[in-house]
Amino acid sequence: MSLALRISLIAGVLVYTAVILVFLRKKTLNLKYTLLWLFSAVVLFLMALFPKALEVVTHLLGIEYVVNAVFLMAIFLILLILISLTAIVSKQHKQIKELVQTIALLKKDIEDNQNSFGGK
Amino acid sequence: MKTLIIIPAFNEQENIEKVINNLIKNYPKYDYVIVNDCSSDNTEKICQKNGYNYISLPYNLGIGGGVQTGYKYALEKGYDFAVQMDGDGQHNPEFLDKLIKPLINGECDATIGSRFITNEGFQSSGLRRFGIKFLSFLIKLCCGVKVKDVTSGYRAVNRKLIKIYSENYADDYPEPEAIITAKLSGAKIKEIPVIMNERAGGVSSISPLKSIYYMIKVSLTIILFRLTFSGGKNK
Repeated sequence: MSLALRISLIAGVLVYTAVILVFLRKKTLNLKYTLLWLFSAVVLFLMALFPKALEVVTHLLGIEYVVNAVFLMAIFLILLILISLTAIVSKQHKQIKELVQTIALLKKDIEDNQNSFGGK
Repeated sequence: MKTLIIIPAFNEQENIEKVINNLIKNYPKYDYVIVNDCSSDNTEKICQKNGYNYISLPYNLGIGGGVQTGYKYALEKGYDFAVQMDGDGQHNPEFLDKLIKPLINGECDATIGSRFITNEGFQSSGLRRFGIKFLSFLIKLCCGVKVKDVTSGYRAVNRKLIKIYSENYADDYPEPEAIITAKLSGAKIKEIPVIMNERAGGVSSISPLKSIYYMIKVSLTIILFRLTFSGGKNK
């Protein structure tokens, strides 16, 4: 991996981490949901920091250029984050559904009670 | 023995009055509840005006979420049996007794009103029948229960399944999946011949384009459901 690539990768990761930290401070992001993003930053940072180890792994995987291994890792991390987002959406979907049903049933109870009091 | 008829209704202003008035007049021994799935037409106003027993969802959940609300209501109010019946007039209440009787006798846990046993009444188009046959085959293959009319939304269950359904019910196109849920929870299912009518008014929820999506989604669901089912313990 060329020095220029390493420097730009480190710079990119630093900017990326800074953006996340700023969002965290502003409470735009919830810490729980940024853990995977921060983990990705650490992985990419380590890759830029230890190019020799990266080269070994790259050849073991049968990849010709080290930069492709960087791309592959980035894609893998993005997929991981996307899956986790789908999991979060699915969970919230279920929670919202249950909330809506509970509200509807409570509303019915309240109305039924009002009607029976009004009738007396 | 208390029985609740769950009537999911989404934009059924043309049909709902006829369906409910018929129930109230001719089948007073059964309680009913309409689940108005956030209709954009006058369905709720009609229910209110007539003093019907109804639940109104604050946001559209789709047929599955709506019906499940009915099951939750049945569970809460201590009903022994629950029947699902469409609000569009396709399901004839004449068959209510026939659907519920096997449950009362303890012959089975669920009954499904089927068009394809005596092949009388409204039969749907040939292509749809083929689709239903395919899904029926798939369900047989995956969980060993033979149900001919897997998409029929006219069905009755006992308290055991009311409980299971109020915890676990699919969101869209839930009918075939509900059969698998029941079967894999150890329920016994029986098909009862019924005669269905064609819709009196309004439009069906499944357009031609949607039926392709329907087939793919439901087939996948059946297969994946079989592979991932964890004994009814998953919440």
